[in-house]
Amino acid sequence: MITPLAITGSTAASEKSTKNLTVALVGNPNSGKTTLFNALTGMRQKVGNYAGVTVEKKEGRVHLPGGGNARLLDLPGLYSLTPHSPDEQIAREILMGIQPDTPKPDVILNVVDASNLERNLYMTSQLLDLGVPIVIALTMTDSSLKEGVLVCPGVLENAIGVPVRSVVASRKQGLDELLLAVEYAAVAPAADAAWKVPDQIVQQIDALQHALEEEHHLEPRTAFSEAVSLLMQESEHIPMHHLPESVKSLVRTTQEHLAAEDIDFATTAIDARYRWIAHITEGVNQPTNRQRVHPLSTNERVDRVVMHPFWGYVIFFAIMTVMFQSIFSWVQGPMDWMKNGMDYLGGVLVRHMPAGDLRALLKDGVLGGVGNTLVFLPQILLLFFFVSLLEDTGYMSRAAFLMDKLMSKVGLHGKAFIPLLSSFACAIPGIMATRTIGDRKARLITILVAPLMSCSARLPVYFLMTGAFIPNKRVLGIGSHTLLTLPGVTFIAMYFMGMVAAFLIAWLFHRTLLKGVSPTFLMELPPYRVPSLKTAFIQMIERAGLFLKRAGTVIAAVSVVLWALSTYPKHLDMPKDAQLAHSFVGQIGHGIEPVIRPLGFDWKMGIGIVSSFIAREVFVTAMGTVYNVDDPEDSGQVNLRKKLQDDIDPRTGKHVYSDLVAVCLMVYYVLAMQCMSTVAVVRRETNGWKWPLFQVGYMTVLAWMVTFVIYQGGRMLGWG
Amino acid sequence: MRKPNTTDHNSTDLEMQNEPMITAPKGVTLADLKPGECGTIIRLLGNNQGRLRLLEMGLTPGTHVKVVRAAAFGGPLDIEVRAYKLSLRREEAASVWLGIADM
Repeated sequence: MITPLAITGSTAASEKSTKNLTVALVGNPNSGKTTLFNALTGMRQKVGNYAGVTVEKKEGRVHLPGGGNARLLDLPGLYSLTPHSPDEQIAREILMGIQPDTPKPDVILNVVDASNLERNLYMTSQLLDLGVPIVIALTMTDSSLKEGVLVCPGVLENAIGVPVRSVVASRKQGLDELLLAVEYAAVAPAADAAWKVPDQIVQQIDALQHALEEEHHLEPRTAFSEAVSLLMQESEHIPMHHLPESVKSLVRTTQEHLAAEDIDFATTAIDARYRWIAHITEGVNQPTNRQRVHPLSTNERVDRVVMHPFWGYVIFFAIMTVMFQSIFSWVQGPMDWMKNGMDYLGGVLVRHMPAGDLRALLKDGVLGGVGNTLVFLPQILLLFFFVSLLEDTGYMSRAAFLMDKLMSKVGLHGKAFIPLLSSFACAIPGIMATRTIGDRKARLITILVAPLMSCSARLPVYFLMTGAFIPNKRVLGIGSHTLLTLPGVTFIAMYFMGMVAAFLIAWLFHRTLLKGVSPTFLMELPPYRVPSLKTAFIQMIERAGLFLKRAGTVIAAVSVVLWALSTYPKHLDMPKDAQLAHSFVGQIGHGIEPVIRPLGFDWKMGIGIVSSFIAREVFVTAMGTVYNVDDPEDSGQVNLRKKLQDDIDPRTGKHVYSDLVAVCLMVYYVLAMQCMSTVAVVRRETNGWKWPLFQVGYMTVLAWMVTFVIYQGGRMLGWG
Repeated sequence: MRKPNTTDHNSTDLEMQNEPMITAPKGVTLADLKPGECGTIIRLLGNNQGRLRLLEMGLTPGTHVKVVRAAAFGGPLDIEVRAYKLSLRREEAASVWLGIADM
């Protein structure tokens, strides 16, 4: 089954082997592409972003059997090369060799799922247009065999005209033969375009192709591919700014001409491609529609339960509960270890360095900053481990299917449920998890509202306020058993408010800022598969690494800055609380007092709010310092609460705090964006400062307005 | 009496007739089908990227599609096309017009 070499091939192959090959890995989502990439590159991979876009750039190194290395670019999972989103656009540019910073691939490694041949071959037909050597890696042959489908690579190879190698990546089978085929393909001529262009559109494609060759200087094959792609889309939607004006107008006039003749270019071209596919698959044993979703097939039996209108939801909530409960209990241990580790290191510094600014900078600033970053790691690792498992099994799409109705009502995608649910623990892994949402707008809306879901960092604030100001009265009970107390109701109200706010704002964004074409939900429901622990592990490490590199540096840096702001200017003669009040943070706290007075807050709370920018729970520590309480988190909380309750405003002679003020403070914390780490992550995920800054802005305004209404309204009604 | 719909792909196996195959009458969209029902695509209406995606995923004229189930409360449909399962919202399905196959 070795592809015959051209006569000059052998020497050319050895010449190429000393040079680095660039290989692009392209294939459908769920086709086993990631497993193959991991099997080929191991941990020798790195992830980043393509300049200026939110598309992830993933590449790795493969050692080739013939000697030498190949640079393997894992392009995003795609169903087609037609530019529906930045993912396809970037992939097209790379494959056509017009993406800056990325060399044109020498070989395209096309992953084709044997259990889904027809749809997978659609992109194959598009790839063949390009004139780049292609090797097909046929995956899922074992699972398709179980369904009674035998796909013979040799038959496919003869039919399509490019090397086809069967691989079982999870068991590392067939990899060497695959790589050998890639090496040979690099020096062999590329195959011809596959599909037959129907007569009614031949001339239009030809004309545009020539224009692209002459005036845009594309190579003939690339020009052909681009011509077809341009004519398929509505010209208003295509980003054509990089094209010369003559080409642009030719595209428009051609489309008008086609419309006038009542020729549907898209359907004609796509249909022609599928005709070619039908011809290919004729010789291959194919599952019939009925065989595939036969009522007795295992897949369908599982789906009947998992997607059941009642039991489906029960199972969904059960799985979510298990998942989040596990994450919650498993992060405690590592977080304690890390805290102990940081304390230990802090102790080392204290012992070995003389007291002074440098030591304080290292201990509280830098070490504190590192600690603030690392504290998120256990959650990120665990969440992505679970997310990867769920995706791999195929369950994720079923869950999205169940959740979509609810999500779509506010312009979100069914897949937004995991990011939003995990944001109840911490928005950071939640926001990172939005990458599974293909649609850009839906993803952006999810990112923008995720922090409104009350995260666990807000709990210390809630505890402090309710503990000090909400009387422990019983609200609901049976006999002598208390089911619900007033503090409990307050907590629930805060969580509920966050959720409602998230959905309302999402709906608002959907209608105003980010409106336009309604996001499509189109989503494949892949067959159930046994998940790969290795893939989950690699995905986990990869996400954590990305977090540390891009967000972690920002978090650590901002931590140091905030530490400096709360330490300087120094007034060593003053007690701690006065020191804080006179530091930059204190001055800012005083400075914003006029703005927060209408909300019922004073400058001390201002300090607390400003300090919370490091992390929301720092509010408690900051208040502890301001009120001169040591260890406000431990038994000192009783002391802190007392101090808050007793605090009198020197100007009015009245209590600073009342239950209304306490509630208002909590409401402010529900709605405001205060976590710099979240800002750092949003910056990374949206690849720019525009959206994180917008998020800070809208949430601050929202928090201020709602708190204002509640405070002033409460006062008018005689509360507080 | 009506024979079950056949396309190029379902050539031989007429054994699998346990589920009722109801051919949709002319002028019906995918969104109108009930779970278990199927039809053959005539054309896709609309003028946007969504339509293009549906076509590329294999929902081309002449293709056989079947609705396997529908999510509760008007949620998405789970359909079967070209030997794989696809989920799409009813609004998206409403642009897919079905009819009686004449092949």
